[in-house]
Amino acid sequence: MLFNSLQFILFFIIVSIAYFNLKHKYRWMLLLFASSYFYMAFVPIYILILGCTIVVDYFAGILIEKTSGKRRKMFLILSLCVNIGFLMVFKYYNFINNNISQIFGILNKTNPLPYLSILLPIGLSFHTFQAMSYTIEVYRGNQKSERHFGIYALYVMFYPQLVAGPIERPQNLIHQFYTNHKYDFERIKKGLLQMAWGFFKKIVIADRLAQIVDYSYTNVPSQNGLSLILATVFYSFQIYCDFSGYSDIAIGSARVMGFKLMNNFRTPYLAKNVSEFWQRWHISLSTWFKDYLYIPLGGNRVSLPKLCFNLFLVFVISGLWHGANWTFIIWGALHGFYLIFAIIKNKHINPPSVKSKFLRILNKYIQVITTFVLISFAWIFFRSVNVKSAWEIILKIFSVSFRDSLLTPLNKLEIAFSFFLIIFLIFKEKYFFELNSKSNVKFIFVFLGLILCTFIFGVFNQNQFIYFQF
Amino acid sequence: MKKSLGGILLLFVLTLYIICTNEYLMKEVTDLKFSGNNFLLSSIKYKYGDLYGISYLSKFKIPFPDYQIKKVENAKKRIDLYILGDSYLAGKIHTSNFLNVDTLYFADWRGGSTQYKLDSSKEKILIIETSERAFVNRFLDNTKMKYVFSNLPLSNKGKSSHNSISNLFFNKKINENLEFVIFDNELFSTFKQWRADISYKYFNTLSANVAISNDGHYLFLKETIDTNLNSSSFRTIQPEKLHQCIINCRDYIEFYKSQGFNQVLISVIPNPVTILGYKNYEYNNLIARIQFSPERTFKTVDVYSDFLHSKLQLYHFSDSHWNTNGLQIWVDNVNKVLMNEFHE
Repeated sequence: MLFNSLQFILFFIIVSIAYFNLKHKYRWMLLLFASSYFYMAFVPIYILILGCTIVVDYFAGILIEKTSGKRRKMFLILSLCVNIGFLMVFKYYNFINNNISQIFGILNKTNPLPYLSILLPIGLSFHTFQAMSYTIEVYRGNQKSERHFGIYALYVMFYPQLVAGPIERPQNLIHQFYTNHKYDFERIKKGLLQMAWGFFKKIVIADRLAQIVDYSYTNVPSQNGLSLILATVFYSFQIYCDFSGYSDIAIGSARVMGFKLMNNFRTPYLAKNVSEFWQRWHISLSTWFKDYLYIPLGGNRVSLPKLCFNLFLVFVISGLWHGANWTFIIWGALHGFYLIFAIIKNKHINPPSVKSKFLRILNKYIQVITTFVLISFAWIFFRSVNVKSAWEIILKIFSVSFRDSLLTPLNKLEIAFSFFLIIFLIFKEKYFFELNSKSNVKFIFVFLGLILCTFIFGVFNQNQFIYFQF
Repeated sequence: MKKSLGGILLLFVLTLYIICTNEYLMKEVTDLKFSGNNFLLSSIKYKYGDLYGISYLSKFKIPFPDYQIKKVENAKKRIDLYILGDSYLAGKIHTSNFLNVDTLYFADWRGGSTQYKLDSSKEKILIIETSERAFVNRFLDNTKMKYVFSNLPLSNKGKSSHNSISNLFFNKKINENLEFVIFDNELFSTFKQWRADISYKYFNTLSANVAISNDGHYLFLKETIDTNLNSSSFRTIQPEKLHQCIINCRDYIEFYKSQGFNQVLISVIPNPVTILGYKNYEYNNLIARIQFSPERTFKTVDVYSDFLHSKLQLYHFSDSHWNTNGLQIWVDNVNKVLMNEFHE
């Protein structure tokens, strides 16, 4: 079920109240049942895929812990193969097959591989990565294998983060299912406030900006440079509000029940360079790649050429994780290039020391804006339907002229309102996380204010979250 | 205390959830919501017109009057009139509105099979009425309606047990149902109205499903304007497509005649935008093209030209259907046909 639906709100109320009314020893059952129901509300049959990976990884974890040497490694590889196998079949098979067909086409031959008519199970990349982190951590000895099948299943399926993260580590989450979370009104208020802010970001900001972005990116030939620049800038904020909005609802709803999920975003568009951006954007995924791919490849302790190659590889794979399309691969590769360029530049050019406070602040702003421009440029590939379309958008953007007029489905006031929302987001987002909610009056005022604003200014067309497709 | 309150809230929300998941219970609730006049419970979905129920613009909150069609003398009750129709007629007509009609049988396109035993002592006339917006979609496919008014049972294929179980727990319409049960009442419509008025006044934004007429007096259903859809009055209809629709009309008529009907007529009701116009969009002339098609070998009940020349208001301001004036013209035209074709 979608977070931004009435069904979810009722579901959340039912599960949360039932959770606190149940004895601790039965709560895992409730959460497991609720999570299964939550997932099956999309496409019921796909619960079997999830069930299959859960069974495999559960036993793999136990076997890895029990055995040693080559057998231990073999069980890890087996578990990873099953997880990656599901990803390959459901997410990448048709993409690979299409590319093979094109190569065969060039050679005037027919591709013998059939096309699979399958739907991508929702959130497959998220729960697969979460499941893989479990077996890897057990293999590394950082996590004991979980013997309680229900708790392990819940670790993979916990409904707030099941379909779009944050991708949790077993060390952070599993022990929380054993903790008896008491009813704590202060914590509940914080959770509800975070959820309300998440809904606001998704329904008021992201879905409003989506109207312009979708219009421009689906009508590229009729658009001019100015409109596409606006759409690209808006997309940067749309995807942020969409995904971080989802994360806030997920983290907030878990928090209401006493669970603490990891933060996924820290005002990423205030980053001063691309490296810092990745410490602030989709943190649970970037740390996953760092811990399980980048560091095993050698991390920073390798030669410069190998470091550059590793970085590039990690970001290309990160791009591929997002979707089976060349646009995502190029998006990842671009980020890889940015980082490689920064490393080489830092190695050869020492930044001049600036004493003037004004110049330091100015320098900071220039860095933030430059980083934002680079990130937004890469988003063009992420959002475009194909590489050709992305290229057309870039050409149009670079041929922008003063004579261009804005071609958008929104009136000027709504565009101005959209900019206001973006500015509000940049400068006021922290307020909702740092709000001292001990005052009930203040909490009610802010909470109801957010709900009322969401109701009045929201765009209610039940847009799916962008990251659901991954 | 907290636990008891939590328990009560849980019970209430759970009950609401179960009701909105279950089709049978939803039907009961729907009947209940449409029957009363309670500020918190009763539905306002159609109280002020179906398009107000979509747009919530305060300007269009106009009480929806009852249809009052003239009664006629029914001395010679020699006809059984069968109508296969849609929301333009459903619940709005009665036997006493039609000349020489003994019994009026009405079957709704939206319903399933309606089986009647045809009375051999009566003249049996069938009128297949359709709104213009549904014409192409209904008649392009010739398998949809042949079993209405027949003794042949409808096929029940295609419902596997898996689907039934799945539908029991995972109702795809649950959000629609929840919206209807919780928010479709006078109380919440006030808030919706504020929201709609602010959006329209400042952002010039309406619900995606409606549009406002050139003079600002009427609400239109967006699907009758959107040229990407077959329901649009402004979408170009290729001759081959129209040809297929007319051929299918002929097939239906032949089918019903073979079932025992003495006469079968087709009636296409113009979309409000067809008559009232929208911006500078050009009408696709669907109704006139059907009417003047050389392939049309069947009789029709046509109101298009009457509507074009009428000076009366024919459609509701806040509803996608005609008002009493529009319906009365149609009923009069049906009566003319009944009189001219079968009794003179």
